[in-house]
Amino acid sequence: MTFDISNIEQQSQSLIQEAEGLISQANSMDELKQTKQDLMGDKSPLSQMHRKIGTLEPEQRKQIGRLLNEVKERIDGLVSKRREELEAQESLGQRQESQMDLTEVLLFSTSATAALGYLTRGHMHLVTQTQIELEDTFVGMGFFVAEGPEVETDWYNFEALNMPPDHPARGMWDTFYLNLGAPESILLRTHTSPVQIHLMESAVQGEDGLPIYAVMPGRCYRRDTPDARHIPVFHQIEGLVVDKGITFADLAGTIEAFTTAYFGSSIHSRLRPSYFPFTEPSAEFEITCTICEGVGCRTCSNTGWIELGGCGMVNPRVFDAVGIDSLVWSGFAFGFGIDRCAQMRYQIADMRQMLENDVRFLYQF
Amino acid sequence: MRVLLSWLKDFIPLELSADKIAETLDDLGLVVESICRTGEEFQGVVVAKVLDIQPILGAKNIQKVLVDAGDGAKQVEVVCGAHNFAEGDIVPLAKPGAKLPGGIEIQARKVMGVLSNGMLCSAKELALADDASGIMILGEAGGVSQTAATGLEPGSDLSLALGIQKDVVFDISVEANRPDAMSIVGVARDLAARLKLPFTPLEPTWDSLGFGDVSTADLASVTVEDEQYCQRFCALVIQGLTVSTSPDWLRNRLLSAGMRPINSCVDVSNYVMLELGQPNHPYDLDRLGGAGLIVRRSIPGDSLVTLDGQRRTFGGDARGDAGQDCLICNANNEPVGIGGIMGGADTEITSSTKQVLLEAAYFLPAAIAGTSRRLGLRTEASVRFERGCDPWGIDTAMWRFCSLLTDINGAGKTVISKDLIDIKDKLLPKPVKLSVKVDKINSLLGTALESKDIGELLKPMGFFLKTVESRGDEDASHIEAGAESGNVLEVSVPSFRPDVSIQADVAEEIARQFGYSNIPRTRPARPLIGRLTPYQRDRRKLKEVLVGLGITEAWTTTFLAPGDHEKIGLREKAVEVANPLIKEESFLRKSLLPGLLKALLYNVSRQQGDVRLFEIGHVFDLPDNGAVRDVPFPLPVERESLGVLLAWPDDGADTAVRIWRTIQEAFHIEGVVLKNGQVPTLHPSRGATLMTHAEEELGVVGEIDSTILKSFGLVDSSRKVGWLTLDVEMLLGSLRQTNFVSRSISRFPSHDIDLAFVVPDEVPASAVKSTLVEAAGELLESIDLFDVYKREDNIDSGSRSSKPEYFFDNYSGVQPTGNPKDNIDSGSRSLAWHLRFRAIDRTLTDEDIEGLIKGCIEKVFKSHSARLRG
Ligand SMILES: [Zn+2]
Repeated sequence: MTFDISNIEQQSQSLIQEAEGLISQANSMDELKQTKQDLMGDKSPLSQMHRKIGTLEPEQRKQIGRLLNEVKERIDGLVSKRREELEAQESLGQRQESQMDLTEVLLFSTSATAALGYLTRGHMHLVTQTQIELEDTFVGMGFFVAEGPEVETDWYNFEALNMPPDHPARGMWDTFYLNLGAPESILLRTHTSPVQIHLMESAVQGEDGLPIYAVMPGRCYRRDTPDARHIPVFHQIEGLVVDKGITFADLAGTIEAFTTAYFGSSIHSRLRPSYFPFTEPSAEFEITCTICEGVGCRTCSNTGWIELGGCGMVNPRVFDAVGIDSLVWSGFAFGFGIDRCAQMRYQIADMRQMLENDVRFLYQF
Repeated sequence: MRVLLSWLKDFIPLELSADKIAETLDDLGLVVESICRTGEEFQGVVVAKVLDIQPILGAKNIQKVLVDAGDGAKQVEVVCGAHNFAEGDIVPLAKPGAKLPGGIEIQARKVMGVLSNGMLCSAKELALADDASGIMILGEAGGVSQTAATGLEPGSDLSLALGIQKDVVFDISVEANRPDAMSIVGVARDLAARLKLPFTPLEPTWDSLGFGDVSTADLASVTVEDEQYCQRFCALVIQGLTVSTSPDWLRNRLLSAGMRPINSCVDVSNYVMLELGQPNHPYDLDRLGGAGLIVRRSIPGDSLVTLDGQRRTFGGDARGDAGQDCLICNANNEPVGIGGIMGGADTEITSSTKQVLLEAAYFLPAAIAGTSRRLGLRTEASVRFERGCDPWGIDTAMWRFCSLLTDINGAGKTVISKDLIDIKDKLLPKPVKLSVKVDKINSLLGTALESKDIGELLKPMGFFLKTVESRGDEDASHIEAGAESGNVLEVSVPSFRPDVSIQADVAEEIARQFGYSNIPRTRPARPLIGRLTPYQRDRRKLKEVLVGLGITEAWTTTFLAPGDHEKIGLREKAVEVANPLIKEESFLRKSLLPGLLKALLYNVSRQQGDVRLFEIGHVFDLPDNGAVRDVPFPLPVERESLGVLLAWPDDGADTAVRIWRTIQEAFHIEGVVLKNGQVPTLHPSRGATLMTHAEEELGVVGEIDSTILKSFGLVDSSRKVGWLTLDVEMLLGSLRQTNFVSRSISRFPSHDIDLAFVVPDEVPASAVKSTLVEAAGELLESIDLFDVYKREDNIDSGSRSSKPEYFFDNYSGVQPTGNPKDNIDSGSRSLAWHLRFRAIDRTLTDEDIEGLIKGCIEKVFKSHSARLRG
């Protein structure tokens, strides 16, 4: 290219156009470096033009100098833009080169490597999970949660619950006794009902006062040979309401409200006369079979209903035992198995699995 | 209790379907466990006579049988696998289309080329007996029973041949408070009331019976010495008996009700018990060994062989009444029966019995329950007496017995002694009258019944009602003061309902007949605000923290085997179960460790031993009181405990300490000191105790000693198991910081300083930290141990048990590193700390920092014979 001062503007334009083409064709950093050398190096037309402006008039020199600087800046800009593009391409290429197999991570055993293994969660026992859900349902219905000891005296487990010694109803609960005190005086509670007595006693003694709206979850013991439906160590939840004007209708309504809240709106409850020494009237409560939703299946022996627990109005004799005036106060109680709820909900074939602590079982929940 | 539909129909005109009846019974609380239709289970099963038995070519075990199934000359060909019969035998044949009790439907099919037109049945296949060893033989070739009269003609219906009537048997589970429902009349009465059907009870008509001239007392004397346990005793003598087989109708009813027919006299006794709920006992008067009965309390040395052939011994112990039984003795005072439970073998009725002394009595329910439990003997009689029989229904039962036996024995022959002996004690329960307020019933049930409604519900069940003026009535004192005066009913409770003794019991009867499902559903008017206690919330949080750390919750049994506690170094006696199911479950756990180790072993032995488990549960210790036997209620010390067992690869003491630190941070626990030292359960040099400022032990942390792992069957020597146990009640109770408040975050830059001290081995890092914290004061924002260095040769030469384990101090998991050229004496190690200083309100100056560092260094030097690492 020869330098002709007369069409300097035109030449600048074509220089830029040429540079655009060359720079965009540079496909590597090396090529780009060479292209830049060609365009702006010592031997480049631009440099030649620069060298020549020294011969010009000061006024013209200033004007053309500014023009050439603009061209230089323009080309610089194009080069650095292309450099960024190439860099981005190159780094993407590099990053694409070794695709990490994330499915491996998914498939690693949790304890295979410490780094991956430490990032696993533990599992709350399904009984705990069930208990929490049940507690939350009842808390939402206005109950508080109370607990009591697992070792009780005969008084709390039987006598205060209207079962004096040799009461035939005691046969309903096979009891583990402890080698403490007089024979058969201290035992492992067969139900959570002793907590009712503790609660009412402390209410009467003024610690908490009446009314009582409480649920009582906890571990219970029955001397039954283990089978698919029974284990000697199990969990129950019990409810107690003591207030003025509490009716059997309130009991039926509370059971129904709980049933639909916990099991879902398609599951309902019904009460059937039954017998417990500590309640009168007493009832067994059944819920719509959760498997067939009432249509009838093997689990519910085609009745559409499954038995969940027992309930009733607190027997005035129980109120007498704890010193609550049954002419002023009335109440209801209900109870059922937490494990049984879990068994129904997750269709656990054999309750004995609950005590084995097989991680294949525990990790499912 | 098995209740026959046909028997119910003796008392009420029932036309409903069996399913509808079952539904009604359910709704009355007489829950039907199963419905069994008799006489229908053998549809298509006929009597057949074996004509010919032929082998089948190529078949070893089966043969071809030709039978006469009543189709005239046409023989039926069947294939059979049994060989216990011969030509001429009478056998049951299930024809194609028959349905067997087990649900099997019979079809004609070809077996080894032979068409089998049905199946010859075993007793088990017909659900008649458990015998599955061969075909049921109804009559043997040439036997006397093979007559038309017995119904064993070929082709006749098997049900007819066996004399089984079409009937429905409801198996009802009767609750412990309903002695009346342990009888056919009781069930019928409840049903009739609910279905609004007429109920026809049995009315004794003594006049129709044949009485002799001799008074009962002249034939047999009766003395009741134990009027506390036996409050009414009736007796009479029946003479002129020929004990025989009972008629079919009676045998069938007993069989359907689940009782084995024995002979006419015993069958009648059982029939009366099932029908009326009144157990009774016939003695062979000639075998009584003393013509009379004495009812008395047992004394040591008494014994009797009961009807079941077992020798029973009685007596009683130092506990007085509680260990004594009510015995029936002959006139020579020798036991002949256990009152209300079972008679003696020597006086039982046999085919040669000529005269019978009949007993029907009322026994104290608790006494029967006690004896039954003590002897481990539950009989049809004892389950009725212990619930409470009708003390005023005995006469009817005596009459029913005499009447039925007379019918069977023959009216002309049967002679009943004159003058029934009837000894009643003043303790005998009398019919109860209750004052029942209609308002109170409604306010208990949530109903709006009127006294008329209540009457309609109660009267059909045998209750009598009378309206009483509430004003001026003495029973009015029962009425809630200030309540609106409403109708008061005087309710007479029938004597067969001993369970009804207070107003609430009457309410239940009303509700039962009204129908539980007809009671409205409401909710308590003023529920409180539900909540968890702070403890309960924190315990949930504790579980969440542990689950977040990758630990899974286990649930182990509370029971431990003998020796389990000793294996983990807990040598003090544990609470013992008096009546364990198995010996391996005879102690209450003092620690969660054995249970969790067993859970670990369970998983290890299934090649899934990489587990981390925790449990929160109760642990038990003997009462603090040494002389437990002298205290009325020496309850065990029961506390809630946390156990964390860590058995992932690389887990160990350090993992356990990290988990403790996480818990400590989660609950803002302050003032708990980790003290290195030997802990019984733990590795001799990798254990520590967590002590509170009050010097109470919160728990222990470390690595479980391999000898303990081995004793639980965990023999893999490379497995290290970390262990942390805490007293949850202490952790979330007294130690839990409830007044925790947030700390402001400074916006000024920090000054970070590293200091490495060489300190003697016996100084725990936590002590150095405390010194630094104290010296640095408020401007210290954080302090971390970042390096522990001990000279290599020291580590190599030191024996395991004597070498202190540094990582139990406040920062764990740091591997010793550093420059080996450093000159650190044996018996010392270098602890490097990272201190970050920052002020809330300004940038610290160099002078500030210099002063702080100087203070820190001097304090550590002075307190711990330390020096700075060179
Ligand atoms: Zn179902």
